[in-house]
Amino acid sequence: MFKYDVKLAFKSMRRNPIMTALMVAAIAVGIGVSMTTLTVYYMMSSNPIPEKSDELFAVTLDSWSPLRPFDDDNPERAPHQLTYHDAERLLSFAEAKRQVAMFESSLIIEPVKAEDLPFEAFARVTSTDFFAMFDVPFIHGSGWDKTTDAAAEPVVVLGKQLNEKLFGGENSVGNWLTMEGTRFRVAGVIDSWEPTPRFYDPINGAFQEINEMFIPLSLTRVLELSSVGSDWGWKSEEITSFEQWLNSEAVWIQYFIELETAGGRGEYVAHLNAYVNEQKKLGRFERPLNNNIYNVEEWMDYHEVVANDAKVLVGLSFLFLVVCLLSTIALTLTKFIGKKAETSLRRALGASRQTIFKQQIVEVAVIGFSGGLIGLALVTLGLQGIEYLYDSPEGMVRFDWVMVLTALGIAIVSSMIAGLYPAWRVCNIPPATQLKTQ
Amino acid sequence: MLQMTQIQKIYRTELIETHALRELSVTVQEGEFVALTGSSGSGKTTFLNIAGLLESFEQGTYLLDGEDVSHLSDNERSAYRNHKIGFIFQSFNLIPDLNLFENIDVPLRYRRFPRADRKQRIEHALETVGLASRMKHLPAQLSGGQQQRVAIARAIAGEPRLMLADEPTGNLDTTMAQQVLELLEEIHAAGTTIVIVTHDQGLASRAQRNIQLVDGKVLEEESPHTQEEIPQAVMLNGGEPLAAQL
Amino acid sequence: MNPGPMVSALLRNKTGAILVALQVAVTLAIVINSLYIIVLRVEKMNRETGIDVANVIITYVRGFGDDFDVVDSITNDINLIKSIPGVVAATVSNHVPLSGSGSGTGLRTVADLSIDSISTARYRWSEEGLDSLGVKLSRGRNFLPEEVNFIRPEDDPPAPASILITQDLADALFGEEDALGKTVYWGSLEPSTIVGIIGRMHGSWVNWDKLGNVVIQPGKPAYTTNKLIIRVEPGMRDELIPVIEETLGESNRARVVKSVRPLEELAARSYRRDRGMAIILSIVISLLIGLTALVIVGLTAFHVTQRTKQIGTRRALGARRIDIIRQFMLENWLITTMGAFIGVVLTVAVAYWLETSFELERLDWSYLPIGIVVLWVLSSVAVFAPARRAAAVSPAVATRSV
Repeated sequence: MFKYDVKLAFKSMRRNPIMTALMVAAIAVGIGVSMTTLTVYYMMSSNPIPEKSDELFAVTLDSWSPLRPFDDDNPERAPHQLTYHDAERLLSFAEAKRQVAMFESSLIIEPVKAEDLPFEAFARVTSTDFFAMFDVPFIHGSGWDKTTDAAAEPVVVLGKQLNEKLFGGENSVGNWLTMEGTRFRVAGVIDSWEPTPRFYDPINGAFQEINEMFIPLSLTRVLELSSVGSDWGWKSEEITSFEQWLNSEAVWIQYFIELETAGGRGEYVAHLNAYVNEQKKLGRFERPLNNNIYNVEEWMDYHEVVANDAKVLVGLSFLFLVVCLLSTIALTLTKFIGKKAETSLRRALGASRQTIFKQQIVEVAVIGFSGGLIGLALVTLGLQGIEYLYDSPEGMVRFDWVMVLTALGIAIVSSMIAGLYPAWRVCNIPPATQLKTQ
Repeated sequence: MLQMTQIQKIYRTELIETHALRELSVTVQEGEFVALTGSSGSGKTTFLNIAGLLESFEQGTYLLDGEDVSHLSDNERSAYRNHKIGFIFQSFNLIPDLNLFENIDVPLRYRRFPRADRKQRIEHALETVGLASRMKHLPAQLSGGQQQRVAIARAIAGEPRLMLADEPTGNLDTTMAQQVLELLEEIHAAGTTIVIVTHDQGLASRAQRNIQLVDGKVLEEESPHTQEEIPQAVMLNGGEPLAAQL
Repeated sequence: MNPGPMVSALLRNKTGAILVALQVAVTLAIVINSLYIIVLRVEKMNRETGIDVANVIITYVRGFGDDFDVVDSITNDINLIKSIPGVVAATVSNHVPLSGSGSGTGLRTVADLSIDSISTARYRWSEEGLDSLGVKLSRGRNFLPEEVNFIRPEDDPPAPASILITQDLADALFGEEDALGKTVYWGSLEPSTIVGIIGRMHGSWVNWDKLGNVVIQPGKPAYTTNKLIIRVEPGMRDELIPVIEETLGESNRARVVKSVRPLEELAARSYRRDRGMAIILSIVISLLIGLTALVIVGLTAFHVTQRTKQIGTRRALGARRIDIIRQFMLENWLITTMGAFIGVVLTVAVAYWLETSFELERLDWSYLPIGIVVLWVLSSVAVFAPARRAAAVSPAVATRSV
């Protein structure tokens, strides 16, 4: 019987090709627009590290000016980065299960062969725990241990792409690389690792790919590495050497910890407060105690990683979907009413109400499915357009199976909802009335 | 076969009530060929709709094939129509985008006959009306008379107990009307009870018995034929009560 | 004109009419709100920057190795660039306006840290800086060559004696008073004197509400990465970019020429979210208007087919073609107007949601009547073709039986 219903649906669709095309187009466009924006939203708001997001925390200390808060619009907030020397102290206490201090820098990689040109590459300058803490996947080798970090040994972990560029993708562990006059030993090569959003550094852009390489934090002082990320200062200090810069009140270091359980949070904040109280005696931290840690989700909210524009687009495009559904209902209703005579005849020939109802619902489901498929093609197109418009790395906005199924589901369910009322109207057409009218 | 007692049907709109049928009592015996005549507005169509279980009524009782069908649910009525009644309409009422085969298939589908059975019934019905070679044609490719023959094939394919025809020759010229009439007589001869609603006296005169409606009531009954000429009823459905088959 | 038969036709298909009216209403709400966002974004992108954006080229150069002398490198690079025919002026700068990357500071009119400072973007460039960006000084003077020195990261120089500020910053600092010649104080409470006022110039962060606040210090920043701002003769930009890239690349292998790009490209990158939003919304409302129009066409055409006989009868009874067209147009007009009424309420609701949830600007109410008129016109256009077809129905249809 289902096959018969599907066959009748196609017959009926062919009878009014323009109406059918309009219905399919309405659903396709509705799905295309709403799913495109929803996918972008889904990508922006997705959990980049679901297995650990409750145990990872960003650390903030309120080291800002006694005269005014760090952020006038959110005066309750401490600065979102730490000073270098505070980060160094917190690392040395090692109160959490794992901790990492880091910033983004860039280095010139000198050519291995004379005919090549030197080029600049981004480097995340970070401490030992980074790789274990964020579950970074390695292809070859590993990160560096605490001794290496303490000794400020020049080692480097390469990103997959950079390893490709420098060593043709081979296992380069143990090879040497010269950067700005210093020879670095390759300790490891990581696989593609692009958590989206880039939760560990939303300050300098939550949606970009800059994992070219990683080097130990202790090299900062030795090589006088500067940050290419943002730095913020409030105090007018005399800075005539790199050491003075490292000891200044400028904040530019991102600090993350991993706790055994999410419950260890209060304890860790108490530890931060103890440290800050200690520092207050030295005349620093003149503001009231305001030290906080944020888990990954809170940190994403703090930085408003999901752009308002994305939310507005989702809202408007779902209103758009409503218009498409209203169109579909109006078209279906009109079309079904146009089938009064046939329905009446079928009823006379013995079709029950349910049979008629089911047949109409199958028809709208077929239309919904066709619309959904075309809609999916439109989403693919839309996402490419958005990647182009927003200059985001290729493949950043992925359309995974969850979204494909969601799209088809929304298409079919919404067209069935759109078909319910018309189908109900049709199956209530009395069997007799239409048989005589011509 | 069909026994209506004191049926009353009123159409109500906001402003007026129309008594379409006033205490109508009609009996049609198994195997009879009856013509119901009357002028426009006499209640012919209402009678047909009620007899065909297309509409309900306010008062009275209706026994179809010995069973009281006054209080059936909508679904049961659909099933009764599908199993027991064959319809023929003045304007044929074929579905324009289905070919002949598919048109005849419509009621059989609802009856959930197996595929092979349906095919055999359709072919047989089309042979009966002499259109077996045009199975794949669309209704629009046929003349009016041929279309009405397809409608008749559709009506007989399910082997109904009762055939209801509403002005079956109303849209046809004399020659075609004659062919259709002969076909109906053949079906009648095979044992099917036939009730024709018409205002055409010529057509009515071909029936065994005429019932004339005036103003929703039976005016008089006349029998152009003697009782002996009624052929022996053939029990096409084996005479079981319908409920047992459902 | 007798609206009787039409209204009754409307009432007979009440649900259909309500559905179309609702569709019109939601369409109105989306179109008006989206259009308003688009207009705001386009206005934002088209703001007068005060900079000759079209003719400016930006180059990032970075040296490495122990032998590298940044001051020499900058001096040579600027000289090389200026020797290229077609180049008007060039400077090294700490940051590039409109690029998204910059430095900010706070200025005060009195030397008291407890008073809130006025936030502003801060640049440091040579006496050729203004000319390199095509920025116009409205009053006062430019830096003198003797005021401009190389500044290394470890130099920590004292506050400069002379600075330039934009009119916007002058207004924020001094209000009605004339800022020229006045003294302002940095975070260190060191004073500087305003020697020139720039009519208008945009800073680095295009999304900042104080984009027009800019202060300029004299100097040649000699940091790791040297940002060079170059202005060329109109029309020569694209042809000079490869020339500059080649000239700089060949002159010194101890440094990397990171990029040579038009300022226009950097600015477009800064505005890409606004541009993206405006384009996406334009596509959305085009699709929406197209869909709604097509649905109206489709439904009307269907109704015309369904009512052929009725129309024929009317024609037989003496209706003129114009009467039939008018009937369909009026019917449609009634539905659209009904939709517009609901639409106004919806539009305001959506505008309220956008304003309160996303801090978007309050909707300019003059968009409402414009939107309604657009919808009227649109739906009338949509209904006209099928209505004309209806009018072409022959009165003879009335006498045909089928």
